[in-house]
Amino acid sequence: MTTALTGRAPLVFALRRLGSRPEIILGAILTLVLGFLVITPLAEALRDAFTYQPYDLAYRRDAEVGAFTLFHFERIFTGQLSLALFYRPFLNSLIVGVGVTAIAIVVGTALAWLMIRTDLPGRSFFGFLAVVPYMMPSWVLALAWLSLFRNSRYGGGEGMVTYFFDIEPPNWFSYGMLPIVICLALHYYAYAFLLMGGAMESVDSELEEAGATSGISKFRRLILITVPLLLPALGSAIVMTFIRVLGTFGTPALLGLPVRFFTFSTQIYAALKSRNAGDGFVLALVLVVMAILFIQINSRIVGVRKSFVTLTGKGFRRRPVRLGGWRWPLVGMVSLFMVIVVAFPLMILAWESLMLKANDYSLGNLTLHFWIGGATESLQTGDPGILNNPRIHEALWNSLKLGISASIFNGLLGLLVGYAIVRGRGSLMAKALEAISFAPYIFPSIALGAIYIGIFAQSYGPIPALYGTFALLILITVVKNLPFTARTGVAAMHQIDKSLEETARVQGIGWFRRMWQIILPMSRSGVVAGMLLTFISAMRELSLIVLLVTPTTMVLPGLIYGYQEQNQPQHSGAVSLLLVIIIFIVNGLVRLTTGQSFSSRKKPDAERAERAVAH
Amino acid sequence: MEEIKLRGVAKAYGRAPAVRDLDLTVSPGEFLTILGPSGCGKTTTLRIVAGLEDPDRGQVQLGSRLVFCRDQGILVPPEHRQLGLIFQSYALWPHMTVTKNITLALKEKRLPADEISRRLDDALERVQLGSMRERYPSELSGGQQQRVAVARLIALKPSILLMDEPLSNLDAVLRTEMRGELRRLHQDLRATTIYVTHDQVEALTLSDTIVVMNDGIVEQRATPYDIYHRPETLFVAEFIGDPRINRLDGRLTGDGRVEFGDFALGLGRDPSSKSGIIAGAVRPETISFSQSEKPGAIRVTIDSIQPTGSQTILHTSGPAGRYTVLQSGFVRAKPGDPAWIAFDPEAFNFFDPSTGRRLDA
Repeated sequence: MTTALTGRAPLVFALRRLGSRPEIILGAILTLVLGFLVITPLAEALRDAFTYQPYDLAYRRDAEVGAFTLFHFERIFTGQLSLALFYRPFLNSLIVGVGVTAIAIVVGTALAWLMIRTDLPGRSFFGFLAVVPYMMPSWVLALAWLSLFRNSRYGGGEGMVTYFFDIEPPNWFSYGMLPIVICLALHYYAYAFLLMGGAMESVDSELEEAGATSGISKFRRLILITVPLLLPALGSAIVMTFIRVLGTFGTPALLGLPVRFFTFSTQIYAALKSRNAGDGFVLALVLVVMAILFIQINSRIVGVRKSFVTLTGKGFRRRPVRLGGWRWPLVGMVSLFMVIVVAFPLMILAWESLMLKANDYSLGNLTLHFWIGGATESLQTGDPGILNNPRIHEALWNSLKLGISASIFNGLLGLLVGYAIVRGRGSLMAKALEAISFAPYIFPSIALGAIYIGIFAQSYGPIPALYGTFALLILITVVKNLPFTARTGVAAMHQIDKSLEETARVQGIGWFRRMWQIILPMSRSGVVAGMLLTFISAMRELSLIVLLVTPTTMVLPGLIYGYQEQNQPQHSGAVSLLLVIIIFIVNGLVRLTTGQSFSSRKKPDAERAERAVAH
Repeated sequence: MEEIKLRGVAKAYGRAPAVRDLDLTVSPGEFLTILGPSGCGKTTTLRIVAGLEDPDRGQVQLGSRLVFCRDQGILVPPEHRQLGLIFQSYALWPHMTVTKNITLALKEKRLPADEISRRLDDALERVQLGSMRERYPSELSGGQQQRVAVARLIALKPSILLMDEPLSNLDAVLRTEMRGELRRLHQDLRATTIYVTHDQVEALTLSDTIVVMNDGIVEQRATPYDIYHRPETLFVAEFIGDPRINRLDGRLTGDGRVEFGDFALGLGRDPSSKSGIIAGAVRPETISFSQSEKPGAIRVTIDSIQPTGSQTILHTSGPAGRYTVLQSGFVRAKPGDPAWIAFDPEAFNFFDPSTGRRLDA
């Protein structure tokens, strides 16, 4: 070797070494890209919150756009409007969050216990039904509630209760806090059910039997032994539900806005819709801080006991608790609950979609016009039935495009992130990547949407202005679902022994071919699970994209919200039903072809993803 | 056939050194076993040769090709080193049939189809798995899986073969059978082979050369015969041999004799040690054993008897020491019985107890 080479040798060596470590290169690229997508929006939102925005000139003539100011903070925290802008929505969000979380956890845990630890007849069928709400948009219940209990004081005319029983429900019952809490709780219990069910499946009943042999009563056993073992899962379920509720938009908007009941999410929406971005960002940041604080508090309380998780394992006996005389009454109660939560709302939506004239629930008023009819001037501003309605077709196509492209991106991303994290384990890069891929979890959906508007309204760095483009919807969906797909990717990669790839490597097979021939086929089920999860959430998600959709990028949930705002219950009912049916069909198809699904109890990979993230 | 040459190779994980300054040459076609306890650096060495780990220092040369040298900026990744590797876990791809497992690398190399099918047939025939072509690994027994891994290498025809404890997942009967299989693989391919194991029986039966490693360094490199009979260090003496070698601490008298607690040996040679303290090591089977009194023999008491049929392991104790004896045949005795043992001075190896190194006359 010449001396000239020796001078450059360290550099050449470093490059060659890097070249032989694809996981490092991949990890570095992913960390940079994802870091850009996750951290810069936050930084930008912070900057906008601390500087004058064009909207502010109405209040401060002398202000210079872009100059540092605490104006937004003063306005929101101490100004004349602070009560309406901040304190009331804050209190409302807090009460809704705590209330929903409490009810959802109790209901979800009780159901999980019944399905998994008892001899309840038909428990596997109920177990299937119990996760169905997971596949429905969270605001379906709110639509059903409005159909039932609407009163005539606030647009939309009277609901079913008034029509059939001639009782006009009071405002506090029809709108605002109470129905919001009930509707959200009856949706979000499904998350607690998934998490707690998973934990219960892995608790050894011998531990409980040990308690029984030492003469502790059934109830005391539950309190003294079972509950503490389930604490980590409980903590995760609480955090997850709370953050999701904080960020949810549809239900509080549908049930709250008619009576000017604001939560944080609807307040952020209002601020950004009136182009008051600065205020919106401050509120979004408060929401993020609330989420982080909540995670902190929770891990303080539960974290110490995390070691319990290691108690779980496989291959133990689980003896079902005998319900005795309670069996059939409980079957009745669970059936009733499922009917109320799953069947009833869908039936009401179906009914709404079949009414010629809104608010007329007589049988003579039934029609298929809003499904198959054409444009009739006199009926609902001439909007044709959903099978003939180009707007709906376009939104449907957009939704499918969003769901499919986001799930493909996410599936691929999950696999690559998982690969880089697992293969690079122990390196700083792997830790950074893990943290970044988890970060979107702490952004409540509406806050993430708000922050994304802020950054991608103009071109930013290498990225052109994305506001109003479909790419932005895909981008935010991919980012929001990243924590789930990354964890499924990591879990899938852990299943693949390193030697399987090393063997291929030594045999002369290059990185791309290894990924294609070995890694991808072996992690297929995990990737599919992550994709299904993304697809479902992309199809039903309103909170995340409500701020970002425009008429040309309209998707089904946004369209449904629009119809409801414009008082077209037939259309919102029909489209909602269509949406739910599509999600069910896709879930069924995926399940048939790969044996993956939310409701299959055999291979709950996607459920595991939810759980994995929550832990 | 290619030579494998490691020069000054060192590798540490964090602060813990795994391999220190290793020099190792494997001659073309040689079957070399690296033997040592877990954590001695043997697997790290193998992975460095394969390119799956990068050493911190040193050079690795395969045949005429330098594949690793930091100072010259040379690093050939494993996929371009053209060698064969068998893992402890067999590393068969579970989502591929036996055929696909064997042919994948050949296809990726874009060999002609008839060449691939010829190599496949040949490899399957050699391991007698012709009827299992379309099976998945999960449908095969442990021994059959191992044979698929072997067939995969036969088809690939590497000139360098690396094996990382390939037998440790098998039961005792299969292990004996597979030992023959691996030896044949080596002969068929005539590949330069490095075999890593912690099992001395595998090392002694398979190898042309054994390298005993401990704590990241080579304790001794020698033929199986010399490793067993002329250990270079106390560690090697104690690590090799089952039952374990007898270690006796003694003192040199200066007149060609060593005094141990119970007896003294006239050596006729003088393994000098400055301090006069010396460690003697003697294999259990070289000690002569008798249940009746013999002139010159030391009287001991039998502590335990472990007959295995063709031979018997006896643990005995004299007034000042304990001795393990391996006696051929089925010894009938009970604990507490007296016995007489005698030592052959020629069978002794001597070591400096402070350095652990061999002392020669």
